Amino acid sequence: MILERVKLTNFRNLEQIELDVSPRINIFLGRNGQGKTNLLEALGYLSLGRSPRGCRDQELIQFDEAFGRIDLVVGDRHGDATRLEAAIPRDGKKRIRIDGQVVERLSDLVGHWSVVRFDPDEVELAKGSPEHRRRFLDHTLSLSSAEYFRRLLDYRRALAQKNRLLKSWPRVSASELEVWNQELVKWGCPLLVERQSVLGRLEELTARIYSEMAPEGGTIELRLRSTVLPPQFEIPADPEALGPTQESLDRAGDHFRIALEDARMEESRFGHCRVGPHRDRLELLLRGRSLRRYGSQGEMRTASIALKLAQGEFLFERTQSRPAVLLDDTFSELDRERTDALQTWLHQEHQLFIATARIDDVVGMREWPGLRVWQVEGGRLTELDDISDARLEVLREELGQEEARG
Amino acid sequence: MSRPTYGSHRLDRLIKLLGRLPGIGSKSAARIALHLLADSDQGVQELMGAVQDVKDHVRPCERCGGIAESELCSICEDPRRDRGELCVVAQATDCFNIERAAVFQGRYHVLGGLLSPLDGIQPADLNLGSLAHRIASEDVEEVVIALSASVEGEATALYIQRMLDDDRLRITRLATGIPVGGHLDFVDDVTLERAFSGRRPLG
Repeated sequence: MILERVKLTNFRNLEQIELDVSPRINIFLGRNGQGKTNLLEALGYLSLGRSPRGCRDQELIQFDEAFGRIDLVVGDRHGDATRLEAAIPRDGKKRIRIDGQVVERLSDLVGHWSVVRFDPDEVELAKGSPEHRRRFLDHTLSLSSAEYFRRLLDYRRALAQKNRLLKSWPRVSASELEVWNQELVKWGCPLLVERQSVLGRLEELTARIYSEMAPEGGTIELRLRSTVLPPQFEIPADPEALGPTQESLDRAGDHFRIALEDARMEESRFGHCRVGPHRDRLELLLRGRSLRRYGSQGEMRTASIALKLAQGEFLFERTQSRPAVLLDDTFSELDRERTDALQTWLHQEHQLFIATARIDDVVGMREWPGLRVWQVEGGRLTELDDISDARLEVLREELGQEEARG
Repeated sequence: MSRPTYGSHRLDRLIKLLGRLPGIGSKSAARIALHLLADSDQGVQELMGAVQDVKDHVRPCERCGGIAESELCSICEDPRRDRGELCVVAQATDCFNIERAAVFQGRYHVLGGLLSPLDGIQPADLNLGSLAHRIASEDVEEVVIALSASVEGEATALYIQRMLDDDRLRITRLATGIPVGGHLDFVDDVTLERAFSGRRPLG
């Protein structure tokens, strides 16, 4: 999928933006605080209908404005264009349209526009809490399957209902609680089984990319530690990926019901549901040991990038369509070797959107085909038609940067 | 920061009250208020009269919770309706949707909402006690649960099913599946899965 055109209205500090973008590489150059990150956030918004940075909708609207809008035109692999629009009012519900038709469920967006995003906090993916990585797994599966996303939203809804009920403990009837437990099992089991069944493939991809980026750096493994399924829970190998079998779902359901039963006393004490797919944790192991505990900063950074690249590959395998890649100030955190590895991978057919404050990033990519560069200043974009040495030197002066040494 | 006003606190108050109505945002409320202002006195009187008239004479049916002008609604009073079939719906408006389709000859029971702890709606807030009472006293043979297929609708259906657990009573649910005239292309997998599991032999 290729983004062709983007139009933003009152999105954070971007009052009015209209761009035809390159199907290959787009660089947004500017000092910090000018709107580069906001622009990438807007580009990622319509992939699942929410801020990829996890911000609330109301925060996305320009100060003092009643609404914000994002309009994208995305071409699919056959070259057919789809219009995606989000209208976000300051009060009231956002409205999302696909080709002018209002969508009732965010899951309807899946498959139209997928992005893989790298941001300066990327190392958190390996270093941060296991919940962080569970969300990554959910995000990956949601981008590849509207059904997964829809079940996830329904599961979260049922979970919120049950948790609210637990807050009024002990004035809770057992029969009412039982009803919500059943709903959790119904929506949660497909999530549990689906995660288990893709984990192996995601692990293969991550390990392969990791070893390309860090030869002899050891082997990466992914471990899902479930509050519901036992470690030895196996899903019969299904090379054609025909989806979870009823038998797997039933077995997961048995485990889930028992886990909920066992957690009954505990959850009444804590006032929230303690077991289920929302509590499962994804661990990364390097050389058989917890990366988060024993890994070096460099290893964690490489593993984070490998996971994201694996996400892109996984989405390509599942949907036959390459996600666009959003890079927010990513290269500045990387050493030469990893930058090369990342850029080599990016040389594939991904459409790139790069936000950077460094002139050197433009210099480094100047020879790449299909490059377009914009300067971002105070929420306004100006395309740089001239990226000759002389012009870049002038810009370097303006941005107050020294040339990279070495 | 004070809210912008229209220069008349009377008009502001009307807009505020209109804005509390379901489905009406602040902009629509202002549009309606300004429309009323421009309307003839007679038109506005008619509207106010109609609102008052409804408040005075329309009330919930004492048996089913539907809309009635006397003790019982017209459906509950109709002797031709099948007493053996009882259709459970969330809102009174659901009865009218089903009546419009003219597919159901039995009677209704309106719950007045769906279970939703997030909105503070618990079993005691729904007309569930009277449902159990009706089933015990009215020779009901089949309960048709006609609730939406949302998380809350499913949970409420399950709750009713468990509450009414009785071998002599038939409890059914409306089928979920492909809309009539709908294209298979546009049916999502979750719905398709339901449609498959609920498939029926031809003929």
